[in-house]
Amino acid sequence: MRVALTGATGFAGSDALTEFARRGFETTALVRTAVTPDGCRAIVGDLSNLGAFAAAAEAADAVVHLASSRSSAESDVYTDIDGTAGLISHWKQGAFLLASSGALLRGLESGYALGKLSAEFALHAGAGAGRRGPAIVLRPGIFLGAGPRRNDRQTLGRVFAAARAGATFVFSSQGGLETFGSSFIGTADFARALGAALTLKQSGDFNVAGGFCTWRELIETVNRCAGTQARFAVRREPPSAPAEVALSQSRSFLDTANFNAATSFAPQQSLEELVEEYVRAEGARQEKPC
Amino acid sequence: MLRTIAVGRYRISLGALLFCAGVTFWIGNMLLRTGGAGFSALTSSLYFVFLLVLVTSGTRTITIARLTGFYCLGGAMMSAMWLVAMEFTALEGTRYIGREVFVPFMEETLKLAPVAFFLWRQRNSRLWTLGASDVLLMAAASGAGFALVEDAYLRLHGASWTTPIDWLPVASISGDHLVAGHGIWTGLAGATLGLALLWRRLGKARYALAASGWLWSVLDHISNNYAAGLSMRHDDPLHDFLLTVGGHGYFAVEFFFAALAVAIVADFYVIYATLPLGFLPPAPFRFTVEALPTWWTATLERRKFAYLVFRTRATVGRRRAQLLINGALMHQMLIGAAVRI
Repeated sequence: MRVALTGATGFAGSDALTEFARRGFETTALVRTAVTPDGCRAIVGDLSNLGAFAAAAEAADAVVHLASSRSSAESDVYTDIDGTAGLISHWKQGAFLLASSGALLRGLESGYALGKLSAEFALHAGAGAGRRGPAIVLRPGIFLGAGPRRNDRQTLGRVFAAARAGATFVFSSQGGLETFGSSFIGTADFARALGAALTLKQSGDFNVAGGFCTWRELIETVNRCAGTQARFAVRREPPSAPAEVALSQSRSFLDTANFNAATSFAPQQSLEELVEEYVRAEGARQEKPC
Repeated sequence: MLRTIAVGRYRISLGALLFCAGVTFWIGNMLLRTGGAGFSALTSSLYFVFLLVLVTSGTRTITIARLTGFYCLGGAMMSAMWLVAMEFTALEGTRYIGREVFVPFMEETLKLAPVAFFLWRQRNSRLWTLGASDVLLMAAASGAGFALVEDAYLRLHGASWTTPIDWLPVASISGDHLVAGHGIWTGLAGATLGLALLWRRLGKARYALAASGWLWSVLDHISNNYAAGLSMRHDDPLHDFLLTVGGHGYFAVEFFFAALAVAIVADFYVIYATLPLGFLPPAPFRFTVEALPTWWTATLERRKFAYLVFRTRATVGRRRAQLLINGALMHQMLIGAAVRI
């Protein structure tokens, strides 16, 4: 299968390339700088200037769109949406796989979520034309991974940095301390999910996650693996001191039953393993295993 | 500050109330002063708009209230035109050029002005959810309103030298040619403008399409006024030329009906054939008097959505992103509405 991939150098891109290579796919990747990631043919360009990648997307048996600015700035959101629509216009056959975000299910307060909703809309509005195959949207939980972009606006990177600085995580209620958190997925698991999604014959929106963790579990796991001393505080007032941090005061649980049933996808990366892998990558691993 | 007034179980805005009062005064006063002539002009112009509303009922998104507004604005434009024309034709030596060239040009422009202003005001929002038949309807309503004022005056003073056609009373026969009338002229201009706004894939050819209806209306109007003026001047070789080019006035009517048909077919195609299957759940429908307005509102919203999605496919850059955001939010609303109903 010939796959046209965007976001190959992004947070989950290298794992996606590994997974596609394992499945024997012939991948052409859109990259912004003249680097060729392992396991693919690279074409330099970006979403607003696809260049030769447009022809690769037209010839591909599937288009996998992972690229995103992950920003809520207006200009970035517009660029992401228009870039996605431009890529969709070059989708001629096979499946189109869009990596959206579980953040959508929390509401549309952020420009990022609105951008993802619009990208999903563009995909579904373009489905069914000509020989186009299924339009598949994957909405992952927060990514946990240890790749080169692990600290690029990722939750685990923020938690780790705060924990290493001895921060206190502030929660608005005791209930929040026990329940607030998010579904998560490891990047390797997400890559496996991408591979599994390419076997789908029907269009659809699917949540994908490897599990759910409360923020407390995540912070305690970081403490355990990295030997940090992050603490918790419960109070109504928002953080005021520099050493205080607040994570999203919500519980974002993704129901993944549909995707797992449709593809037989089974996650393999646990929270413990993912945090340990991250801590190791940061060079902060403790002598004893966490 | 008081903005609405309770009438039974409804609340009516002060603006709507003032509008209704103004229209009632205008029409009532006109009927009192013009009697049968005014009534005849009123019924023929309303009949024309009613027919158009009927044939576009499967594609339009514009409401009757909005159309009423354009009808009245068209009438108001006649007053403005009267002032302009009186000033211009009063100048020595400009009588013929004024009546035969300047007046048609100004009239066709002023009748279309309310529609053009509306489209310009709505260039970032409603413009993208309009069908071609909507623009046609708005323009035709404006033209019909304009015709009402002119015809009431002419018929009252016995100055009308034409015989209305039975089945299409906005058009009439005058000697050896057909007078399409203001409703049809402006409707033609609106139809081509609407098609150009809908079919963005035509690229720069859209500009020519948009202008073509208006240009033909001006030409036919000039031809008509020239023929009428000829009764006072004989042996003018331009007379035959203009009538031949304009098909003795029949081309304008034929073009109007052709443009109407194309607009309806194009809108039908956009509404019923361009959205992916299952993109929207079926429109909720319950055959009860209470549910009918809700169903109709939902139907109009779905049509607006289809026009928006269709236009999205022919745009690029920031505009495309904006349209996709609007479309995504509208989609969420329609799905939510379908679930709620």
